[in-house]
Amino acid sequence: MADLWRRLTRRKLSLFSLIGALFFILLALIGPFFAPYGMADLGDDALAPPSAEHWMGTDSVGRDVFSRFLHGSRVSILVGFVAVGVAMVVGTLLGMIAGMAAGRFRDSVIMRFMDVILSFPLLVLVPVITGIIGQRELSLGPIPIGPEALVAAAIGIVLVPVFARVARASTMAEMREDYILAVRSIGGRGRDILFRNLLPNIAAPQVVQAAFGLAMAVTVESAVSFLGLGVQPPGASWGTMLADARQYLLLGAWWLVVFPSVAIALFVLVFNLLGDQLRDELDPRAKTSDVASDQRDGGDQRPESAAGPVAASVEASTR
Amino acid sequence: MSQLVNGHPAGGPTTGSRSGEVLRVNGLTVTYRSRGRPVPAVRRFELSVRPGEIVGLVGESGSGKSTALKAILGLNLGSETEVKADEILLDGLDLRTLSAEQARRIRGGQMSMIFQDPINSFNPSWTIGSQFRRVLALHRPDLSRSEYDDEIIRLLADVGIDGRGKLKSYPFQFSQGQLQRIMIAVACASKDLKVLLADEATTSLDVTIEAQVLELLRRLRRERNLAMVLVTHDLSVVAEMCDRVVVMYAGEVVEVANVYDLFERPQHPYTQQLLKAIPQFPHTGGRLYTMRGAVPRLDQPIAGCTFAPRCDRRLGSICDTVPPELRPTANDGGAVAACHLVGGAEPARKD
Repeated sequence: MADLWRRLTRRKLSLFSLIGALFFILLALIGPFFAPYGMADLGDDALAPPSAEHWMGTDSVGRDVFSRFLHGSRVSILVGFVAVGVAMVVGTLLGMIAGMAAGRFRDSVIMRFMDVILSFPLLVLVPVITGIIGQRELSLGPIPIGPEALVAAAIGIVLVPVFARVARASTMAEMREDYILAVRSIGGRGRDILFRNLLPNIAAPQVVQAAFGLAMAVTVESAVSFLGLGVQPPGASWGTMLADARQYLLLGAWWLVVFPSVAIALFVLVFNLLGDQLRDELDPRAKTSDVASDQRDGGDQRPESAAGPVAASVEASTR
Repeated sequence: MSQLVNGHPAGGPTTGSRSGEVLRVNGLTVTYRSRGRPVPAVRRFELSVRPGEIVGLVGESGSGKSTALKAILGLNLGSETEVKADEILLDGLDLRTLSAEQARRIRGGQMSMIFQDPINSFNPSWTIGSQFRRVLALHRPDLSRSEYDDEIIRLLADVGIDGRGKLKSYPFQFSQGQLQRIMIAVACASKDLKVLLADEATTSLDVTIEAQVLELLRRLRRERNLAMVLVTHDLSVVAEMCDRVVVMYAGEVVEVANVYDLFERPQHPYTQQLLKAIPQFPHTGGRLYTMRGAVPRLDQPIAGCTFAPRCDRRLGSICDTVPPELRPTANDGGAVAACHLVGGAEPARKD
């Protein structure tokens, strides 16, 4: 683990994605505490451009965009993490169960169900799920379920097959390994195989998938909220902020659009990059490139040969 | 449930103890399915092992040795594989009548298996100590959690490994020979282990390490009166280790004999040709004997004797039409062979 950290922080690109990821996580956790105004506080000054008082300007009813942005970021990012968390746990478990029984009835039932989910476009299924359960007051015992939780759950459901398929594939590969046979031959239980033996060995691709899943979940949340089927006003998320901004863009209120858009784009970029870097480091087949990258890192210290700079840049661009 | 099993007339403990066998297998048939076609990998397999006896199971690659072993242990061979047997008795207990949970307890409890490739038989993501502790948790209810580490050190010492300070090491930090010893220690962790199945356990080791591991197995047999089934295609291992030998060809048992008789008076032509194929030392300079042909494909039914096309002593049409039965041979000790040459002119009377 420490080794992975060392390798991730060594490369500029992965360092950037790590810092970015950390930034977004902090933004979600403590961002709202720094909000200068209340999220729904109405001001006198509507559609004011960014200024010292309102860093990101104000919207059509005079609310401080910066405060809304901080609160909205928490919602968007949290929805992403919750959705991916749900999808990863459920999907990995289902995929492992299917992979252990590959070719049998249990496998077929699970995977055909996953196919059903996959056969709907993401952007159709999420509004359908939130729409069916509806814009009603819901609660789980004493805990009220807001529309945010509903969207997170819906995106989670939609992302389950992504994790299930990856988990199934890696489980099927691991099941052919001798140590699974050895565990069986020594009287290991099904849960020994599932959690102790399979899980640690299939975790890497799931983690990679989680990074990509986060980017996907946040995009979907924004899109659904933009369509008015996700997070409901007066709640804010990147998607609802864009939806609010839509009609004022032509009036020149660029600040309403730019900040949430940049946030979404940056989030997707950061987590896709992180996923890429994680895949490079965790994929056992990519391990062979370790030697090459070690040599290259060592090479930076060496005095450059005649073709040095050119060769180095060519090498860098082929990465 | 177990009482019910014990009360079963065929599976009663008396059956096992009367004949002095700890493991008896009869009529074991394992059928794979390959592209919808049944492939009988093991047919009418039989085996009997007495306590403290080492039985060798030899044959070419693909003769069904490992498959038979796995089927005996009750390992799942895949969803499309069918395992049938007339009886699989372990110390008088018919393993076929057990529930999945009872069968699981048997594995590693009374019957264990060690494998050819020790490095792949350990989970790469866990330390040796942690994997060993799991096995103790499964099969040593007499120990408390705090006693596990001491017991592991003791068990490892038994197989000649100083485990102190090594329990936190990962499998890749050990050598093949060490891992094979550790695997034997793991397999023998249970107190009521009766049968140890070794699936080419020494094939991947170099000769000096192999000799050490074989010596270890012999000592285990001596000290714990373990019965062993050694799958191998190394006949020198058989000569050195085994009391009795079962020769398999194309999924069937073709000859069973004491190890001396097998090497001195092989009855089945396959055994004879197999022994002939061992390079002699010192080498005479002549060409080495090679058995012509290859093990037949099993996805199509074979009419007569499976070995007929490669046999140097083929009798004629009878070998192509009538499958030979296992019949007693001139060798004593319940030796049998499946060949029309064995048992005189009887096959002629058969049709």
